[in-house]
Amino acid sequence: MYNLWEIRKRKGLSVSQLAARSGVSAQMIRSYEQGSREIPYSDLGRLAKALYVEEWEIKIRSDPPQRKMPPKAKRDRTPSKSRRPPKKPAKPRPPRPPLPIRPTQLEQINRLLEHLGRSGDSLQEQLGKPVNALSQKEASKLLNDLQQEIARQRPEKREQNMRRPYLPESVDKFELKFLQTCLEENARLHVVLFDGTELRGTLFGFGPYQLVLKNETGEQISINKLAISYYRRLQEPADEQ
Amino acid sequence: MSNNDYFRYLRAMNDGLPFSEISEATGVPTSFLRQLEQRYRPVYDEAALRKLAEYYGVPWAEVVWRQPWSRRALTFFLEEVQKEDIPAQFELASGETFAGKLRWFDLGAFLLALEDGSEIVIQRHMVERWCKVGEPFTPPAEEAA
Repeated sequence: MYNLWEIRKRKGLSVSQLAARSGVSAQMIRSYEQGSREIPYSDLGRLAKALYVEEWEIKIRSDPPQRKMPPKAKRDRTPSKSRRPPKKPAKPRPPRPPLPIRPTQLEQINRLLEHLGRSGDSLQEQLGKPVNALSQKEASKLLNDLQQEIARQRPEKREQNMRRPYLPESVDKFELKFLQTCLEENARLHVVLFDGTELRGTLFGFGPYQLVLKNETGEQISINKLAISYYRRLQEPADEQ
Repeated sequence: MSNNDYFRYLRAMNDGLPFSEISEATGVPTSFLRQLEQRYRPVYDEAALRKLAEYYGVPWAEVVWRQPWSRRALTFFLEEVQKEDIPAQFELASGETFAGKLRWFDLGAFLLALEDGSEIVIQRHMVERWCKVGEPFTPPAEEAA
């Protein structure tokens, strides 16, 4: 009797090839070969057939193959000739010349000047050189200044544009808090749907998009919030009538 | 109900048709449809809205009157009445009207303390129109919409 892995190797097959031939999964074959499982009769027949051997030739529980580990290479502590010499300190690079103004910056400056009703000449006078002679960094600063000038000129419009409603809308925090209280207090809810359908029951659960009510019969009803028109908490039995 | 919610409602009533199918039938890109339903911002693309109204078989007037009653305008209003602590009136898609003071509001709902002392949580997508108590339902100003 031979180990499964011995026969397989003798036949020159890989695990995956044997798996493909026999119909037994590669994972199972590996576990049979490791000896972690016994080969059941059903698989034994298939494996024997795939390996062209008799069933009795295969050990039911294989001995795990002993792996030949390559000897550990000793660390060579002697300095190698091929080792790179220590790097020389890098020479300080000369500073890069400033990049010229980008065409898009020039376009934007012209647009802002037009917006401000200023001429290019007045700007040139202010800068002491033509706009196209500016560097990218200088142009960027100039754009910033011009935008601030626009903002200063029209404060009332800015305020009007900046009007934003207070939006506690990033999450349904108030509704979720309300529902959480209802859930903790075992509250009963009266829910009215978009088509007028009315549902009553104890709040059983909720999520961002749905409520789950449990009615008197113990039936759980999941309601999509999109279908809900409004709901109220029933506090006293009188409310339920 | 803002147009965003209205189109979402119409799609739901049509068995939740996929965006791709609506896009194919109307020529309106799926990205537009997604933004229309999910971003809660007023949409001013009249041509696209007309195509959608036609597709769902609803009169164009239904879309037009809803245009100023947007989610954003409702947020402005809710913020105002909460800050001023004044009673407000809300007309729902079902035709019911509720009046009371606002206790809280968030993305999906708001709680109204009614005059009889009870409280109801109204889902924002069901609100058709709103106004301060004693005032008529006038469409919100364009800047708020």
